[in-house]
Formats: sequence, C-alpha cells, structure tokens
Amino acid sequence: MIEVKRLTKRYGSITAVDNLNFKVEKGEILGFLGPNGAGKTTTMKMLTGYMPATEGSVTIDGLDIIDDYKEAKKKIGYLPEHPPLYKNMTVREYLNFVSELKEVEKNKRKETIDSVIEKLWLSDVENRLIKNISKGYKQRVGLAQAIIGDPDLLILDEPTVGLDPKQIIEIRELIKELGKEHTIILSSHILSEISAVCNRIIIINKGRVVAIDTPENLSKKLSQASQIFARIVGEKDKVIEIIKNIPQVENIEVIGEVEKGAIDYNLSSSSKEDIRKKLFFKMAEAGYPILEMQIKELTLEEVFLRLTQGLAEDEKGDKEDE
Amino acid sequence: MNKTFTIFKREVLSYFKSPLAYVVISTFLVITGYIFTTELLYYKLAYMQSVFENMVMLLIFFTPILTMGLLTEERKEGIDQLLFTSPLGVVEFVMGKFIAAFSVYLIMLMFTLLYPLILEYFGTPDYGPIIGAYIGLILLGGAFISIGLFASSLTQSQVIAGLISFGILILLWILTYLKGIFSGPISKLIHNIDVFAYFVDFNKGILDSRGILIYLSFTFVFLFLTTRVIDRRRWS
Repeated sequence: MIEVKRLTKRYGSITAVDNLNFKVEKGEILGFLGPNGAGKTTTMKMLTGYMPATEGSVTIDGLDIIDDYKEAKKKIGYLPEHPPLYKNMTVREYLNFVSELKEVEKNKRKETIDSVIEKLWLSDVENRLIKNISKGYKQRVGLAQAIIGDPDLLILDEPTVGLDPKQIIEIRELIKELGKEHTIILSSHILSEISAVCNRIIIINKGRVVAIDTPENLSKKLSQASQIFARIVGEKDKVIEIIKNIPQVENIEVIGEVEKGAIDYNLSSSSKEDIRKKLFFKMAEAGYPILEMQIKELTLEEVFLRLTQGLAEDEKGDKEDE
Repeated sequence: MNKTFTIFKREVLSYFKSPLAYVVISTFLVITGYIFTTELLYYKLAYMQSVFENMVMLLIFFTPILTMGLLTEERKEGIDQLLFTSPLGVVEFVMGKFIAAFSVYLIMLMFTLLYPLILEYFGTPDYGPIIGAYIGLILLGGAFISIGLFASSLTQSQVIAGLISFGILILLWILTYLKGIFSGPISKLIHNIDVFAYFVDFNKGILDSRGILIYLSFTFVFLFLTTRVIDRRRWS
C-alpha cells in the first residue's frame, strides 16, 4: 500500500528524520510512537506529499507522491495535527468544499457528505459555523475531511490530542471502525493509545526508528522486568528485610512516607512471574498491612530507555554500515 | 480547472461573509463619489478624467487591503495542509485566489458605472475616454491584485502582507519622479515599466498595445512568482 524508502529530511544541519524505511500493507493500522520532536509530524508531512523529502521516496501503490501527485494524493486522507478547517464555513459547506477538492463526482457529493456526517455523528452541528463548535467536534470534522473521497490510506497526526477522555475514547473507537475499510497510519506520544488500536508500532526517537513490532511483542519485550509500587504500614527495616527474602525481587527503592504511618516502596522484579501474591502473603504473615499495591506502567521515557538499551547493538551495526 | 473554480467560489464567499468586501467597496465608493460630485459641481462638465486619476491613486491603498489575507490565513491555520495533500496543483490554487480577488474588484468597479450614467442623464459625455479608462482600470487592477497576492504569499501576517504590497505599489508610483534623475538605459527602463504613465493614455481613450502588454505582463509575472514562492516553501 505504502512504501517508504530511505526517507530523510534535513533542515540545514539538523536532521529531523533520518533514513526511515518501512512498508504498510493494506488493512493494517500502523502507529507512530515517539516523544514530541521525534520527527513524527515531519514524517507524516512527507508521507502525504505536503513536504518533499530531502532524500528517499514515498510510493503509494507504486505511485510516487511527488512525481505522480495527482493520482497518489487521491489515495490519501490526511488529518494534520491541527485540523485544517475554515472557521467561517459551516460544517456542511466545508465538507462540500473538501469533496470538490478531492474530486468526488458531482452526483455523488451529497451522498458522500451525508454518509460522512452520519459516520462521525456530526448531524447536530452540520449547519453551524466551524468556529462555534467544540474542539471535539472540530477534530471529528477534521477526520470527516480525511475520509471524504474514500481514500485507501488515512494518515492521522495525533488524532486525539487536546480532547477530553470521553472524546478520546470515541475517536479511538472510530479509528478502529475506519480501520476495517482503510489502511491507517497514526501518530501519538501516548503508548496506551497506540497499543489500543494498532496492529504494528514504529517507535521513533530523534528521527530514527528505535523499534518496529506488534504491540504484543513490544510489551513482551518490555514487561520482562516489571515494577511494583506498594504502600505498607510497618517498620521500614523489617519490611525491607522481608521483601529481600522474596527471591525474584531485584531492587527495592524507598520512596518515603506519604501517608502517615505507611511507607511507599518501588520494587522491581527480574522475572515475569507476578510477585504481588507472594508479597501479600509475606506481609500478612508479618502483620504489616498493605494499603496500596499496583503494577507500575512504564512511562514513555522508560520504554525508550529500555528499547534503546536493547537495541544498542543493532544500532552499532547500522552505524558501521553507514 | 474545476478546482480553480472550487477555490474561487470559496474565496468569494468568504469575502462576502466577512465585513471586508463590504467595507472596502463602500469606502471606495464614498471617496470616489465625493470626488465625482465635487468635480461635477465645480466644473459642471461631463468629464471624468480626474475622477479616474484619483481612482488609480485610491487603488494603491485599496487593493492591498483586498489581497492581504488571500494566502496568509490558510498558512496560519494550517489549511494549506489540506489543500496541498489533495490533488490540487499550485497553479490552480493561485488562479482561483486571483480570480476571486479580481472578481471582488470588478464588482467594486461596477458600482462606479453609476457616475457615467449620471453624466449621461444630465449631459453628453464623451465615451471614448471613459471606456478607455475602464479598460485601463480593469487591467491595472489585475496587476495590482497579483502584486498583492504575491505579497500575501511571502508571510503569515496579514498586516505585513498588506504593507509589502502597499510598499511595492508606492515604489511603482514614485518611479515617475525618478525618471528625471537617471539618464540612458535606466531612464528608459523606468519609462517602460511606469504603470501609472500608461494609464494617462487609457484615460484619454487611447488603447496603447504597449500599455495593455505591460499591465498583463505585471499580472502574469507576479502570479508566476506567487506559484514559485508557494512551491519553494514546501521544498525548503
């Protein structure tokens, strides 16, 4: 569906995107994950042909996005970071404008717009000016704009950013729904969001690919060592002593007393085995109540650290190639 | 070509959805109407040459206002990301914008036809110079609008775009005064691109092919430059 080869973007001496290679097959939902400034938006702008690459190529069904732009761009729907909306048009007027722009045939336009409005639950606002509708609606109009003309490939740049939790869930559901008929590439800096909708994830940092894999494989890789947070009432030294007796515990970090009489700990375990049960029974035996306990989710920074550590050797190999 | 019309249609609608078109057209008509009336009352002649001269002066102020927002807003709001990721060529886009602003300008000019009609009602005006002047105004307006469009492609700020096109037009205007300072080929060049000097002929009812050619060339060159600026920006 889309093939990216040696894609590179330089601004003067700064390399924003460095030698990106990947392929997306029809029907896939691919997630781009990376911190702010990792090069996600730049990559998407190149994928859509909005911005030409310094080096490398993007082809969509064999059509080059720069050389065959008229044909290639018909296959793409793009939702930029900020939805590209004319504020003084109504939703319907705007969608009509977009459908003309995307060469939807005249006799199919009304039908197309009606179906998009229905799909994105926009009928309540279809005759209101875009400047007067809420951020969530604006985002949906942005998505509506992207799916007009029924493009095979949807490219969505941070589709849920700035939305409230309810809207985030709605948009996610919608993306999953759209994924049944379209190939989707979406970007985000939130791990849980990407893993909720995507079949495959590309993690990029500083313009380079850190990892490409399915969410399952990535989380397998990442969950090999898990962290547990616990708040335990009891004498610190004795609690630590007991925890140390659990063989799987690798490291104990004392956070300190947050709640009166109880101390917070971070435990990291080396194995995949869940040590929570063991911890519970040991503490119960000793008569130290556990007030809180949870598996700590890895933050994005930690994901990066782990991945970059794990892939350090691969990268060395890459550099030698260059 | 279809998409030129799409861009054109949206742009014209947006002119008339905002107060801009109304304010520009009505202010222009108030000022030219005032000039027309006082001239007519003072000289009592069915004669409009000085009104047209003043109109040209006014265009220096009015076309930048008409054109300053043409390309700045879409860039600022990121809408160009929609436009240039759909199968739309830069030329189609620029032409749509140009024709939209030009149409608003023509609408404005159309209202001034009231003045010769008044003359017709009370006297017997000489139509040669009047028709010549309108042809000149139409062509000159096109050139000014393409200059404004070009200025608008350079920046994301409406104010700066307006000032740039105003600056270019003022520069063209003071060219006349530079003619005497230089001699030889520079003087000749200035003479050739002095758009305001050509209007004098139009205003007398003389259709000089050189004048027509210069006005059309200005329009074409600045439209071309606009497409280049838009293209270049994406490549940089």
